[in-house]
Amino acid sequence: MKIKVGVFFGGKSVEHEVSIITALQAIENMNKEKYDVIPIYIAKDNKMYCGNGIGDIKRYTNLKELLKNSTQVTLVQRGEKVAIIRSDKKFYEKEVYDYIDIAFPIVHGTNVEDGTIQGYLKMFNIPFVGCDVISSAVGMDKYVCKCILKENGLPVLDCKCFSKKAYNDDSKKVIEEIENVIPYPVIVKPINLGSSVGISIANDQEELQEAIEEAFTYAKKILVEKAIKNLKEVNCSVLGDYEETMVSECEEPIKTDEILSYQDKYISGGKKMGGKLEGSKTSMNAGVLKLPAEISKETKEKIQNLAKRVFRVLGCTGVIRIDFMIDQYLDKIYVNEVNTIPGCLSFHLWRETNVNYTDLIDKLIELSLKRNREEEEITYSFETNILEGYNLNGTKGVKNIK
Amino acid sequence: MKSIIVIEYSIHLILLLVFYMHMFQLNSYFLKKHIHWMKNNTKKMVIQLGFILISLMLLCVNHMISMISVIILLALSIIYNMPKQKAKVPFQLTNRVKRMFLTEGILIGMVIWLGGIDTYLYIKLGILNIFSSILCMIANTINMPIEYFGQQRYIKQAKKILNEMPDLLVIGVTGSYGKTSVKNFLYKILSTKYEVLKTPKNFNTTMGVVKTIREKLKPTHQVFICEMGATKPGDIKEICGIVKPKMGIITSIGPQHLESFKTIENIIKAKFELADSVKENHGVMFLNGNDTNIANMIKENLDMKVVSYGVENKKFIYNAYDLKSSSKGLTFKIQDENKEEIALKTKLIGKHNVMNITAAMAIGNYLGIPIKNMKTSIREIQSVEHRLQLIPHGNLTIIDDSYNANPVSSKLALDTLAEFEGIKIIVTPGLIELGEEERKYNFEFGQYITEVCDYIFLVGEDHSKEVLEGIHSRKFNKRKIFVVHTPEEAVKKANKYAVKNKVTVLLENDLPDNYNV
Repeated sequence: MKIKVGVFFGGKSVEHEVSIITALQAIENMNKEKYDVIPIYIAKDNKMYCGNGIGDIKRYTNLKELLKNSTQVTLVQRGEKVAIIRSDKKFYEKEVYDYIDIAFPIVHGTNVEDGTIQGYLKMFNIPFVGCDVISSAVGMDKYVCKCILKENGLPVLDCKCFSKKAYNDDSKKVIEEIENVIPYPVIVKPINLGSSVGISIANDQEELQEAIEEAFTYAKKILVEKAIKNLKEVNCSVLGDYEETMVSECEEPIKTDEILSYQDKYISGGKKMGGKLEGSKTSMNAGVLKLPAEISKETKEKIQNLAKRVFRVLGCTGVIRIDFMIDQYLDKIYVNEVNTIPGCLSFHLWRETNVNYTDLIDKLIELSLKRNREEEEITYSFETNILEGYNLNGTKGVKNIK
Repeated sequence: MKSIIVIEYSIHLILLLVFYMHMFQLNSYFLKKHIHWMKNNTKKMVIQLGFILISLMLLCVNHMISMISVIILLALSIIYNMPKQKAKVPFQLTNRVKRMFLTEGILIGMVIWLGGIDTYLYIKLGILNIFSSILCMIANTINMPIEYFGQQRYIKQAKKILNEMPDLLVIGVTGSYGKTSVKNFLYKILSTKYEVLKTPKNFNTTMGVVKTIREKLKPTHQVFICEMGATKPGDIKEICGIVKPKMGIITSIGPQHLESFKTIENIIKAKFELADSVKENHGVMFLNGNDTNIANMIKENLDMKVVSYGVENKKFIYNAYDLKSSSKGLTFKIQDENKEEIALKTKLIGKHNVMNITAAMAIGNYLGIPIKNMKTSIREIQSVEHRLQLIPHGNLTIIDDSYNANPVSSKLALDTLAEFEGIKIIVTPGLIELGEEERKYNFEFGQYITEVCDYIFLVGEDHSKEVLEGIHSRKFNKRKIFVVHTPEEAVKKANKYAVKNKVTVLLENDLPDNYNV
């Protein structure tokens, strides 16, 4: 019996397409002797689909056609198992499309990666790969994440956080407040988006206004912090759980603009997505990064240690990527942001650390099973403590509660 | 008028059929056990059926008054036979039961058809009432081939599932007592490293194991801990034939289910069916060296890989020593794989639990988990429900040991109680299912109680008679012995002593409904 792994990807997120690439690439690299993979596509309206074409990247060029030929599905608990059932079953079809033993969410961005899909899967008592609800949620909210890291003594840049309402009510005051604390140039980010969407740098008040308004089109809250002039960005991946962690080699994304934009990260070279996946054994952002990063051994060790600490502080599980900023002027390292489901699952970093993609996925699945068992254990003891005690007052107490 | 009688008879019949089916279920659908039970409960049956007999006789007199008295009589009987209190082990409407009811229905239908529906309808129904107690047995016999083929199909399915998982490690757990505890402790320890499935609760029959495999085994599982129970020779062999264990553990051997095993030698042989199977699969057996019956078997060359475990004996490969127990739990020491001494702590009570924990540690260690890493698991181990389960309640502490007591475990429970401070009270209905020696064991149990307890609450009179004789054979203040109807009643009374003093109540054995009627 092979282990049935349901890979979830897509979702109502600006990083929808990136997620499709990451997921299908991961599926390509899963050990098929061990796993029976079931791709489950989450469309932009959050409807889930299964079918023969769902695992084929070429079919996504004509999405309408693909969805027409696929089956809309939903999850249901059947006995001890989690079943994928057809939402609109035709009379001659079986209700159950398939079963899954493990869920593997490979989604990026708001509305999915932020704990949403994790919470959804948790309701089915099924082991799922990667971070739990809380660490996923914290990882997505840049401000909350910064606060927690700061509280735990990890180096982060000071920032200001504003809501759309505050800006609309009194934009002058907001800008004043920023200018009082953070000198130009500043960087403006939507609070909860990864992959550099909506991020821009402002050198003066006019640009700041523009940057803020641009960022507000992606989120209700924004974050402003100092833009480091002599900046070097370094990323490092961590794999493990609360007990054991491993750190990867560091990479250095090369900026074409002042910061690594969405264009650089995923669309650089002007290649089309389909074309890129052909060579998916290599990283999709090959060509725009240096691996390993050009940093001293000392800095690398510092970064790797910080990465481990961030992983633990946020209570992560599975594989995450942490982006660091180095102020080369001051020779200072800051934690920039956390990706709880990194693009490509950071496999290129792990390949450089002598963990191949297939083993990486094995390890992730193993970790998901481990967490699931540990959680079930906790629930079990809770039950015995409270509900099964000998009640001297008989059932009277229960009646009173009612 | 007649139609009222017909309706009453029908209701009565349904009540009786359900009742006897419930008892038949509690007697594990064993004809022998059920007949034995019927013999022991003739009094109850006479009352149940007496009304029917009288009503049938009255019906012979075709008179208005006799008719009315029949109606009243039957109404009373229906009220009497209504299920009164909540059953301890509730009736489960399984598919097997449904099939038996169907067969019963067909049989009843046939009887009613006989010579036309209208002729003597109420007489027929009355007679059916009288035979209701054996109807379930007849239905069971008729259904036997269907049940057999159904079971064979399930067994085949289970075997197929196991065949598809060649890497799954099956660990068989058996023993007269301690097997459920060892199973749970082992599950806890192995789960730190492996994906483990265990047979739930006390599902330890062939069909229980098969059900677990069919419904719970997932391709993600790496280890399957299979509890194997034996109520007769060959039971364990049958389970082993399906699951093919590569590892086995025998926790203890003692007088249990003597009604079907007859001698202790037969029990030893039955438990070692597991070792035979593990040997065939070139596996390894874990054996409790503290148990005399098992130790004797180790001495005879078993011609296979054996790992011994136990307490306070350096010869054992896994030996727990320096046992200390208090009302808060147990502490003990053990040497790990590097001969380093490791001190361990658990919330469990009862020194024999150290033995059970050591058993689980031995297997866990054998499977690559360092003893050092087991500290947390052992500290967190919960007692199995109703097996020396400690339930603190302010001044009153309850030790719930109500599950299937036997001479050895009840003595251990009393030893544990002896370690508690304050007033010690036992609540027990006596021991059961011990065959011809039941009387002797209950007598000795009574004697031992007097050495430990300050107050004695006997539940029900039927089975506690011999216990009482044992108590009286020693000097014990008769004013401190009470006979009550339910354990709850006893606990309520015991609670009065807890106003001023620390009181510990041991609930020893709680008879299932088929012994309580």
